[in-house]
Amino acid sequence: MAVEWMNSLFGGALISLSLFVFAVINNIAFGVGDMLKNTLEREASISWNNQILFLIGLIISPVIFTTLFYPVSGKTFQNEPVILMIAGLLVGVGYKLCNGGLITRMVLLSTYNLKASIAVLILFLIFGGASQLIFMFLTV
Amino acid sequence: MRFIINFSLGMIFGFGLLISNIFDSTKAKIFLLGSMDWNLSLLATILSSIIVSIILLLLLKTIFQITEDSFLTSQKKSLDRYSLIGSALFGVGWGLTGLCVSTATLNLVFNQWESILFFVFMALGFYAPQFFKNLA
Repeated sequence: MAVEWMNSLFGGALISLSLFVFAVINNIAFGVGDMLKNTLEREASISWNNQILFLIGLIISPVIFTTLFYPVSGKTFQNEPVILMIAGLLVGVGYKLCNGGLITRMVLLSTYNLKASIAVLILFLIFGGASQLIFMFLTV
Repeated sequence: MRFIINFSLGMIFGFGLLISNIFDSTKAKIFLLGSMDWNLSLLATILSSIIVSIILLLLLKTIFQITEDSFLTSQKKSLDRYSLIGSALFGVGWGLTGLCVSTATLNLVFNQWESILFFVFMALGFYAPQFFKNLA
């Protein structure tokens, strides 16, 4: 259990450090969702290249992690395809409307309006928990 | 040089997701549900990333004399109704599957049809607000 907590703390620190340094050296406070959207829009620029490189690094990180440390593999999903489609759509729309997802809000929290970001994080948790409870109730 | 740095930063970001295990969709679901095997380690990840980012910002301001406005471009500063609706929608989507934008992107490498399906609809979702705005 102690190892899991240490890993969680260390992992959070790495997430924060990497995204924060990326924001500083590229002069843009972007989350992964913003980078993905820019990539899809194909507006080629130096900034665009840097975002692509960040995303490539992110996507292949499990392969390098497995080579360097210990094997990681994909976990099984317990969702119906229609739920995955609806949830994906909601996450995409939600990200765009509130200008950042969970990790963007966590990491760039200090650069946003602090109170607004904390409120958004709490709303993520409340609606996340409520949706699971309602879904469980409906499927029982 | 900057290309290598950006690539490495993406990789370190991915390592963070892997080490903290938040790429595992079940971890977020267990945390949000508060079930018998409730595990607060996701909260530890959230708190550590917030604390580290605040420390980094303070360091940046004091050591390098850089103001936060220098690297903030078009971020929303206040909490408006779009942010509230967006966070509710995001929370529901995250709660149903345990995946957010970063973890869904990372999960692509495992080549599971579920993560690919989620990713495709998430990408469509990025364009949905603009699409409906244009229709109106």
